[in-house]
Amino acid sequence: MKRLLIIAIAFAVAGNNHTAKAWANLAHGTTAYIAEQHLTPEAKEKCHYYLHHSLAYYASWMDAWRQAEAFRKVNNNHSGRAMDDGVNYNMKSGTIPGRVMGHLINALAELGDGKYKELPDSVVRQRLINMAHYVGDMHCPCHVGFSKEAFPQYAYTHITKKGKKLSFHGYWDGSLQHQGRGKWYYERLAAEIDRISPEQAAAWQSGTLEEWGRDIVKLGHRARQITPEGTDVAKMSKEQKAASRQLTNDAIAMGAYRMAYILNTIFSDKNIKTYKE
Amino acid sequence: MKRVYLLLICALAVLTASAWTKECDQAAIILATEHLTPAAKSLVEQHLGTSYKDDIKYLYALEKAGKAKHTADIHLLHLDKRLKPKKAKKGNDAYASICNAMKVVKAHASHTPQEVTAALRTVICSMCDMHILSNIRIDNIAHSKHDFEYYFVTSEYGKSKGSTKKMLWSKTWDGFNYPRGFSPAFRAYDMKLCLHNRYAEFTKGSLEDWAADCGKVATYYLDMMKPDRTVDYTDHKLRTEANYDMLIKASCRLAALLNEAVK
Repeated sequence: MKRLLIIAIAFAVAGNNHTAKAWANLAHGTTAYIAEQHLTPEAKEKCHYYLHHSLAYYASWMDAWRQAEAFRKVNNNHSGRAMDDGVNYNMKSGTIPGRVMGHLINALAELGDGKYKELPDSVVRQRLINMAHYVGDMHCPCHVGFSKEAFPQYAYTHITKKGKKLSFHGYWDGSLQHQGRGKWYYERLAAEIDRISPEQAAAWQSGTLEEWGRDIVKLGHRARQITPEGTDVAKMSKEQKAASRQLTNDAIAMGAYRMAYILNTIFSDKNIKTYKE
Repeated sequence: MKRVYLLLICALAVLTASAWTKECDQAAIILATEHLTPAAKSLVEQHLGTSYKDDIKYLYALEKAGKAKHTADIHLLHLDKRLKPKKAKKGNDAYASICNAMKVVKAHASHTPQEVTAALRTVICSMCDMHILSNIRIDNIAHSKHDFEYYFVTSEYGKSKGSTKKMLWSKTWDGFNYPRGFSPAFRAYDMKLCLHNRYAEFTKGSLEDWAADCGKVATYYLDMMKPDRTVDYTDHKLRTEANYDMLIKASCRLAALLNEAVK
């Protein structure tokens, strides 16, 4: 009887696979959803023209397809690294060429300054799909790595949940879920997250790509300070929980406002941010 | 007591694994509403109220309450080899249910409000049901969802290249809720963007043609099944797009059918 009960529960759980599992799904979608709310009418129309979907629909597309042979070369482009000074973002993308920041730099160079008009629609579409994902990924607090030599305290960050092993990456990738927001719709998440003052939004959107990178490194530091080695997620203090929630919100909002800024700039034919080595 | 829990859990599993998610169905209805003529909209609102998107689980609710004879066939679409609708073995299938219900909707003035309400709810549920590819039975093939157990390649390169995951044909299509986090209203908005200017294309022809179209799509994916029943990663992923299109088709065709009925 017990065995039957276990089988039945397993069957029921397998059938109920509707919950959001990771940053890859819910946080990416929310980032793109908020970004779309801040697009200019012109940029929104152009995005819809190329995508035939909302930005949020394609926010996790790069994750969904990353195991396909055609996307092999960009499978490691979902994260980036901090420099050993712990302040700057590695714009050269470390040992793997074209990591997430590199990809953004290339896409901006390809589409910016009105160049998107000279490209086939399918190419622009694919670049937009990539950006809808990568800009969110760049801002995920666990998607910025630190070298073991410079930051030994960040190495092997193992955290647990009720005694079970949960990686640092696993916690922050699924932070919305761990914070009890895993079944929320984008609208509800956006209502909670998108309370950004115009001054804050302008500060996030201004500056060079290097400065954006420095902000991302700060997100990485904050995540490691909130959940240091040995953290049990189930036993986090009120302050830790609040800080975790705030960091997730900031990361999503920062990514969203920057995504909106990038798309608004591309489709307004204004000069785009560039990075030159 | 344990036995009761067991039955409840099994029932839950069957219900959740036998259709698109409620959110998807509701999105289809929201989008359909946008395409209704004023006359059709008025008839629907008169009998179902303004929150009729919740009526999508009407057939399931009836079955659950024991008010309808449970036959799995009511959710299915039976087609013959030429993709023509075929009589189901146990009672009506989705196509026959729609045909019967539409007779009532067309002659709504001569029926009681309760009959019209039931007919409208049946049309809504069955139109979605016949567009769910795992609900399609062609020439008695795929009579059981367990007929089509297959393996799909989970990775095309790297260390896990060629490794496979066991799947059921029904699981490929059921419980569809991609991308997660879409509310019904936002999904309807996204579906509208995806529909673009294809409404006329999707609603061309009769109910019979639409059933054949559903069969054609199902055949395409069934044919993709190799003898050893291994589907590659790319093909498997492409099915998400196909499922989204079926959801949009169901929505457009529901609107077209109701518009036609009250012309």
